[in-house]
Amino acid sequence: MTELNYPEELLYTREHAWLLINQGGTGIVGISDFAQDQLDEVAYVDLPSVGSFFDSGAEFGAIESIKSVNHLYMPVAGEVIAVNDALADTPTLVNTEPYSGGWMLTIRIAEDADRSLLISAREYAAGLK
Amino acid sequence: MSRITVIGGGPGGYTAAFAAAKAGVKVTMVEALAIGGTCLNWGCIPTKTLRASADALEMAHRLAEFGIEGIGEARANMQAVLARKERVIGVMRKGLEKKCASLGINFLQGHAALQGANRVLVSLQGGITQEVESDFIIIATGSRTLDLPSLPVNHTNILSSDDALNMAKIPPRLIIVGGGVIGSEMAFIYQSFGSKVTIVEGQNRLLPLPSVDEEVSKLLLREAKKKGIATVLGSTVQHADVQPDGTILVTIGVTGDNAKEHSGQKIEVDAVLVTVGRVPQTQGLGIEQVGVATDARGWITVNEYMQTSVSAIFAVGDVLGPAHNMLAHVAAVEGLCAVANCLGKKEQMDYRNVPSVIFTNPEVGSVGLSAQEAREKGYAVKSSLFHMRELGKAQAMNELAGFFKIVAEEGTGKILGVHITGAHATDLIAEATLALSLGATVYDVTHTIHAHPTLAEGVFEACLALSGQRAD
Repeated sequence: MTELNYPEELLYTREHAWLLINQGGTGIVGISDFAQDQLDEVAYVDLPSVGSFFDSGAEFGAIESIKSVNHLYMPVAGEVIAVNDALADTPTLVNTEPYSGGWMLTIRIAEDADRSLLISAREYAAGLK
Repeated sequence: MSRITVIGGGPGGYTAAFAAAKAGVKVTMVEALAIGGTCLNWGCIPTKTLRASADALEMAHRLAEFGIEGIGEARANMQAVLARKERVIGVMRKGLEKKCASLGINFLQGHAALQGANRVLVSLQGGITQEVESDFIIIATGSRTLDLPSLPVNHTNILSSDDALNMAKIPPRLIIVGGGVIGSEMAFIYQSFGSKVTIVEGQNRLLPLPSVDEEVSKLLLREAKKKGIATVLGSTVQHADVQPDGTILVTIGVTGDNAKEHSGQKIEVDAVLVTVGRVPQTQGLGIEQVGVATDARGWITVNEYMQTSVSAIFAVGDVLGPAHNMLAHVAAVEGLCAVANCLGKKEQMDYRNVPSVIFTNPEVGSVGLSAQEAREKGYAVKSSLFHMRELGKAQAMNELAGFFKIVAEEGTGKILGVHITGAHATDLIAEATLALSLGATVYDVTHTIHAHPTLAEGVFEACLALSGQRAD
């Protein structure tokens, strides 16, 4: 069984999303190594259009593999300012590079966003046992 | 012997006519266009025939998935596709004509106008007219396509659904105005044939009907996206400029907040298909003169016995409008109900548990309440969703998209609604319709053996998920 990893510098949610907070109030969203491992080979990622706004915890898309279909939930409220178009041709980037090439959204984090869903890598990993 | 005049030879009309004739009634059926009505000639049957050709082309493109090789580049020959459609319609029409003849029905090809509660004047070919007297009249004249004044159909590149069933050439870029049942079905058919399709829908989901569960709309939207069908929700077509070169510049405007980014957006296409609804087919019928009441939009109003405001005149089918489910199978049952009432049996029409089937790709089959409707009606609702791809049969067939959703009552487990999307959903819904009409619970379904490996197991699995501890 391959070692799954959860980079310390990211924040996570119990719904298996990760969030990288940048300077200037933007963030990048993806799903964790655990999530991609559970899904097995990703066949399609349904991402929203640029300009959409979602609340913390709201459903922003879906991810399909051969075995399952799962919803994707926002780690924190924000407006979508970019989506990873590479996933249209190569959805398996989510499997091979969940924290880099498999990124899903770049968002502008809402100022008054509810951050209560965000937990540390350690808390997230502990919750998976 | 009783006499009934049936106006309209579609599913409502011919079902009523056949039932009445079998019961010994002297029946005259008047049809202005073609026997079989909208369903056979411009609706159900031709669309499904085109869908079957589209499915064949889809499979041709997917042969490698199944280990099949050696076939060259497959494409649709629209002349052949349309010829097949005409052949199928012809076979069905001949069947109806033969049945009329064998039942001794007096079939008149012409336009009917009511002269009173017991008399109809039929305008036949060559200017000949014929008066037909009867004890009862059943109006089954149906509906026709709605034209938008801002987007007048020209039958060449601004099209109605009737035109869409006769397209000799596939438009490379097509905009479909209205993402309801007809628009959505056409979108998937034309995408299969090779059009780049954009659907423009005024509400905020595809298939915005109360009977369609929101999760079904969501899945269809995702499947449309995967196939390259663009969908613009919360928007309408404000303007369509036909250019000198025959292309059309379409301006899309916002109806709600969700489509801000498309406000005033201009898209160039080769054809526009307008599928924004239908209107009653009652011109020249003489309903006002005779006193048959309609609602504000012109749909004929009836009581639960299918009786209009004139007691000897009944009405069934599409001419009753959306309040009565504009479906061929509903028209047929309404027709039977009307005949029973003509014969003095006092039967009420029951609209509970009407299944609806949508031939998008994947298909949709639903019956009963959506989760939202059930909650609004005050039920304590529990629901489950079982993914098609978890079934061995779906994996073996390589048809993974879709789900089975059961909406049930907490405690009793009584099934309130079933919503299926995926391969064969339109056939799978029949089990669910029977379950609802028998008042079945999820336990009744889980106590029924479902053969393996079949797609029907999806209904079982979705019910199993809800059949925890019984509350009684």
